[in-house]
Amino acid sequence: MGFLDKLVSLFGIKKKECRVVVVGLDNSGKTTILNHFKPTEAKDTLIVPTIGFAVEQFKYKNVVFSAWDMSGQSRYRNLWEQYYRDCQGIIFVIDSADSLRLVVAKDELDMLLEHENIQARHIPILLFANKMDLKDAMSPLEISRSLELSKLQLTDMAPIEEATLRPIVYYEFLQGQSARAAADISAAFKGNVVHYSTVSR
Amino acid sequence: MNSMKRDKKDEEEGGGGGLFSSLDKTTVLQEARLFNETPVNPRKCTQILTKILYLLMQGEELGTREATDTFFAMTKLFQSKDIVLRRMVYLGIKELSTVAEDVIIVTSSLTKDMTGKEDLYRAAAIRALCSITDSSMLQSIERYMKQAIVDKSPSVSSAGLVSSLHLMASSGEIIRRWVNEAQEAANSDNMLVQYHAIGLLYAVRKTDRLAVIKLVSKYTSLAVRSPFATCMLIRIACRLMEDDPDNDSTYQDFLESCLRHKSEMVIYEAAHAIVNLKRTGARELSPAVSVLQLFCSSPKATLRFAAVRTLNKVAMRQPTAVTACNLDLENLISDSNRSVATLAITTLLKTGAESSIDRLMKQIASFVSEISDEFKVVVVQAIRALCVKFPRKHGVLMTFLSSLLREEGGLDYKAAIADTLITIIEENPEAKETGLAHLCEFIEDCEHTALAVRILHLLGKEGPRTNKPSRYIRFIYNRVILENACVRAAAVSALARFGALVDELTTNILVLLCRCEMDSDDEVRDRAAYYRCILENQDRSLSSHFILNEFQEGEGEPREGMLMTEKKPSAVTKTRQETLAQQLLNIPALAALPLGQLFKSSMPTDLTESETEYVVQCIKHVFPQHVVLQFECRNTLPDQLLENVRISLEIPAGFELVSEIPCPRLEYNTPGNVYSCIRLPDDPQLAMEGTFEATMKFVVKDCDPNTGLPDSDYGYDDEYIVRNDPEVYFLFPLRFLEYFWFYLQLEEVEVATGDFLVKVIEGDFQSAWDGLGEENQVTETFELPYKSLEEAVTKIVKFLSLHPSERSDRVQAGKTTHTLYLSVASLRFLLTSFL
Repeated sequence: MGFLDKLVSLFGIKKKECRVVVVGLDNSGKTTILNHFKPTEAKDTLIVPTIGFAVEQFKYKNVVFSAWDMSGQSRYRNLWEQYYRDCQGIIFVIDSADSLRLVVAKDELDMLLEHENIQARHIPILLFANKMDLKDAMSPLEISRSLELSKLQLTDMAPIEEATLRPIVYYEFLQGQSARAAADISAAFKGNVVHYSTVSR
Repeated sequence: MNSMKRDKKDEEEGGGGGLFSSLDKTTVLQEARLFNETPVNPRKCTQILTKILYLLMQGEELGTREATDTFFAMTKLFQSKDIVLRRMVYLGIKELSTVAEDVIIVTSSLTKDMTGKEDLYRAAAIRALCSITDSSMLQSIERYMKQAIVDKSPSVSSAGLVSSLHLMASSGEIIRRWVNEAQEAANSDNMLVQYHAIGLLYAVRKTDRLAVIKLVSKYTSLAVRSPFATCMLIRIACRLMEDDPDNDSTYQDFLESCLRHKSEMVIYEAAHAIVNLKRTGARELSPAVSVLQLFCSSPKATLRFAAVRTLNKVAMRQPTAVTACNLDLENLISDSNRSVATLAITTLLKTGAESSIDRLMKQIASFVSEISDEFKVVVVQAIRALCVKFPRKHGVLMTFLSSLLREEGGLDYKAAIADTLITIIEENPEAKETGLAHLCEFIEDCEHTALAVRILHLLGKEGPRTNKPSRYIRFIYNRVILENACVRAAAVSALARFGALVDELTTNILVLLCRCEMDSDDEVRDRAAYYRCILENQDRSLSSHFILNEFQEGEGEPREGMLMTEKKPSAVTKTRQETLAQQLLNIPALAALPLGQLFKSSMPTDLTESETEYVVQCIKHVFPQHVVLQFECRNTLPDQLLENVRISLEIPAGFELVSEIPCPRLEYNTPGNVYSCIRLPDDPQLAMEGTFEATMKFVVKDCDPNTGLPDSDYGYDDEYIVRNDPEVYFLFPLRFLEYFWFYLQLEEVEVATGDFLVKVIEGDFQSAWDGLGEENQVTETFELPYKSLEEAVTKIVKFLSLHPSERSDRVQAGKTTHTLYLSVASLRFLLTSFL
């Protein structure tokens, strides 16, 4: 089951709308990813840095997704939290080729996971390692090591206990996938997510 | 549609206002939390937004925290596609953009809307975007703005242009780059777009005169389609004509061609412009007036009003030009619109002949009670002009005015009437007695304190000089009995003036003043006691000095027999004069000199350009026999230290340098003073004017900019530095002195007549003048190189630095002679008069 299917299965029965916040450092490819969900005629040909945020809406399996495409520039990052409270899912995009700033991404991710509006909720978070097709991209292993994903309590394949209200981090970094190519995106969002862990750092 | 119907019904219910009757800020902001919910309920959210906007419009202020919270809640509404809600969000953003923080967060969302397909969003999104953008963010949206300006849709293009115009104030540099787009928009067929585009083009070039001229000539020759744009061109052209009075007549031709435009708006604008131009003569005026005449018979009330109002203005300056319209104006007197009728009548008053005044006054009287106060003021002003023009008619006019005074009316209106009466009294000696009688009658029943005080003062001033001063005493004393403390005090002062000027009344006044001393108010009692004391002394000079001239500010030395009550309240803050005098006294070398009392210190004058390395200012201190020149020097170079700074002066004949105090050390940015004391020529006949050529001499040492300590003990002892600066040069490297003197040529110091004169505020110029006597008067005729009287008056006042008395600095337009009264307390004259 892919990430979107998870979201649909989590909320689809009750609601017909779902809010997803897309965050990540600047130039990691958030707007490009969302651009692929738009119908062909509405797609932007030129992606420019987002200032503030933009809302994109698309439909998947009868659920209307409102994706909040947040700006990743440092001066806007402290504004992300304004939108955590009423979202039902978070996508955290990582630039795999930017090994230098991976520590910054890690800081931002930690801050997100520790945020009061995230911590005590059963909220799915998808880590998406973008730009895996570039030749200087880091391997999935390197990324998970840098992000110290092992420190998240791994509950691979184990059933999620619904009782403990904690964010669940889904991640699977497919070799060679990138938001530049539409096919990879659908693979990432619709393909099976294998790894996930609840957060208890 | 439905909602509109509902609104109408609400209005009919009236009073309560339903939804918005008793809104509370906190509750509304609580409700705004609803914005955070998914899915968004557009109807409810629109209503809440309306409430927030309503509160803001009512003047409710949000704190930064509240505003930011509301703003971010509002941003969540971007996920709804409801058009009405989205447009409300734009309005909300615009309102909160100045209060909330981080408003730039919506930039991308708005740019998306303004480039999107929904036309209803686009213009509004542009406007909202520009309200949240600052100059640093503008660059990132520049591309979108340029696109918007040349957009096909007129509303989008207009929004882009107007928003750019607003942004001009904060980031003009960036907007200047959009000129090409604006020019393209200026060719648009749409009236508003063209108007806004030309407006933006003008705003961009406003500071550059040549560019504005080019702009105007380009678009005037192009025959602009939009009447709005044409109106604006007319205004710009007028401004150009005013700025440069001797340019050619192209603009005049343009204005006249606009008089034949097909749009009424343009025709009126052109006529209005011609009328208001200062240089317009009778020849240019006549086509404009004939156009306005046509408008007078227009079925549209606005046109009639505009025309008559402009004609009214013309009538003030050139009544003859309007006489042609008299017939049309007569018809307008019976106009159903009262404002039009009033203006028509007042215009007629200005243009009409002396014979028609009686008839017109009757007509005014018939409807004066129906019009508002503002128009009554207009009528009164017209009557005032009439009084000046036809002094012989003052009887009719004054009776009319006094009947107006007795009717109901606000302070402005009453003040205008009183003003008019006062002018009549001042201008026309024949009318004085009747005028004063009318005013006396008025203050018997006047509820405006300010007005009563003014009239009492006037009575005090004019009353004693009339034939029967005693008749006013009763009116004035009635005020002492009946009115509030302010008016009572003023009445006491007025009484005292009668007592001082009319000998046979003095004893009676003293009795009245005695009674006033029983008053309940301190001020009234004080005044009464003070005046009684002076009057009892029977000393003419004393009373003229302290009753008639009580506003005098001279710090004359205490005279024998002077009353202790005269003591001025000691000023808490020292005047500039005092601080400067104190400063001078603190310098031992100067204090040792027998200078005497400081008479006057001039304002500082610059002896160097303000941006040179060393800045020198000069203040002239004038003493009875000496002038002390204080040179305030300032070193603006952080890596230099000046030592032994001297100012050497070339002393003209007659003057004598007494002593000189150099400044031993001049550090960076710390002002230092050099003083030169000069003895004035003894012979008073010799001109007191002198020009001193000044040179500043100093030694330069390099120093550490941080500590200010010199790098070495000596100045430039080893190296030659040849400066290119022509002002700074050194003479010879005096090796045995081991440093160089630098010479800096300064501007000349001038000591002129004005420095020896002090302005005195003379309350009653006439009596002070008469008091001086014939032997002290000298009449001389000067030929002054000034074009107009106004210019001459301001120049003379400035040159002599004196205070004009009795408001004689105001010149009435069109007069060829003018008397300027200047109060002088010259040093020399004062000294001789004491001897």
